[in-house]
Amino acid sequence: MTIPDHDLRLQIVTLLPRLRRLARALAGTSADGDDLLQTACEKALSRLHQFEVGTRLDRWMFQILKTTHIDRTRQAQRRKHADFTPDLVDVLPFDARIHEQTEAREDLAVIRAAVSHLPEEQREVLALVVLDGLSYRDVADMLDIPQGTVMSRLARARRKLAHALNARQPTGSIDKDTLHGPRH
Amino acid sequence: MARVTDEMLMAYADGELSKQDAELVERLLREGDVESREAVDEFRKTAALVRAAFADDTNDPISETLVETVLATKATPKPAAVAGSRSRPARRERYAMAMAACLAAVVVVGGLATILRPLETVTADSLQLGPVDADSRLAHVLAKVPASTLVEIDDDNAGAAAHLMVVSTFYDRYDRICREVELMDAALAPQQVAVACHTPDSSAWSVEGVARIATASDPSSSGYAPAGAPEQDALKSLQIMVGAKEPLSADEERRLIDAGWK
Repeated sequence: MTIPDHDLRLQIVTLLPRLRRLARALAGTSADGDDLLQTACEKALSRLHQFEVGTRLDRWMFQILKTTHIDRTRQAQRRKHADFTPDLVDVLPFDARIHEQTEAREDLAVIRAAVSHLPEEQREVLALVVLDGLSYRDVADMLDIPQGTVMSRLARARRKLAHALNARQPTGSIDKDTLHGPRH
Repeated sequence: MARVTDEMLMAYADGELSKQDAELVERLLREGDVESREAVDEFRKTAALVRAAFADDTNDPISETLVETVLATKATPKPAAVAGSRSRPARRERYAMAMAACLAAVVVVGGLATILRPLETVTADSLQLGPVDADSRLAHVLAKVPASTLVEIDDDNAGAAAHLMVVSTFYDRYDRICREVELMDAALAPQQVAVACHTPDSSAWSVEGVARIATASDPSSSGYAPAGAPEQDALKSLQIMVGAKEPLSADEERRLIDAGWK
C-alpha cells in the first residue's frame, strides 16, 4: 500500500510549524533554520517514495532534517578552513543584539547563544524534549539510543544553559533569586 | 538523607518520573534539601527559557514559498476549473487556485481519503473530509454555533460522549467563509481539528482539511505539559493550507450566523 504523493505532501505541511521550531534550534538562528528547513523539505520531496507506510512521518522528517543539518555544518566547516573566515560560531545571533533593552529578552538571547554552542547531540535531544514535547522514551526510540543517554545529554545541556545564564548575571541586571544566594 | 541523581531531578522537573520516584523526590524537597530544590528550579527555568527563546513569532508565518514547494503547486500546469475566469491571475492567486485544485482532487476521491489522515486508524466518529451532511451535528454546529462554544455530542454508536467546538471563523484566500472546528473526547482532550468552508452556491459546508492532534505518549507522566503545542500546530497548519485571513470578531460572526452565512 502506498500513500498518494499529495496526501503525504499535505501531511508534511501540517508538520511545518514543528519542524521549523526544531530547525531553528538546530541551526541556531531563524534565518539559518529556515534555510535548513527548506533544504530538508526539498530532500524529503525527492524521496517521498522511500517513506514507509505505517511508520511515523514526523520521525522520518526529523531524520532528514538532522542529516541535512549535519551535511550543512560539514560544508560550512570545509569552507571555513578553506577561506580562513572568522569563527562564526562565536558571533551571537543577530537577534541577541537587537533585544538588549529588557532582562527577559537578554536571557533569551543568552539562551539562544548557549544553545548554538552546545554539542550537536545535546542540542538535538534538548530540541526534541523541550521544544517538541517528546517524552524521553520517544526521543530514545527516535534516535536509537538508550533512555539513560537521552537523560544525561539533556541534563548536561541544561546545566550548560544555566551556567551561561549565571555567568552573565553579575554584569547584567538583577535577578533577585540568584542575588540572595541559596535559600535556607 | 537519601540522594538522587541530577538526571532524576531533571526528570522530576519534566514530569517524567514514575510515581514512586516522584514521591521520593517530593519527600526530599519537603525535607528542605536546598540543593535539590535549586536543581529542580533550574531545570524548570532552562526548559521555560528555551521554549520562550524558540517560540513561534505570530508575525512570522511559515513561508508560502515553502508550502508551495512542499505541495508542488508550482509545477501544477492547469489549476483552472476552480476559480478560473481571469486570464492572467497574479502569482499568489495562481497558487491559491492550484491549492484548491489539489484539495478538490482529494475531495473527489472522497470516501477513500481523509486529507491529512493520520497514518494510524481513523475512528468512525472522526471528522471526515468532504461535503458535510446537512442533517449532521457537524452541519448544525457549523451553521449555528458561535466560536468558543462547547457542544456535547453523544455518540450513538460508541456510547461515548465527544465535544465539538468552533475555534475561529475567517475568510480564506478565495474570500470564502471558513470555520475551524475541534473535536474533543469526553475529557475535553483535543483529538482532531478540521477546516470547513462554506460554498455560497450550494450553501453547504465542506471539510477541506483534517489534522489529528498528537497526544502525549506517556499517560503515566502526570502534570507534564508537552512543550510542542501540537494543538496549536494543527490549527496553524490548516490555516496555512487554506490561506486563512484574520479571524472575524464575535459581532461579525454573529451577523453571518443570523444571515445564514450570506
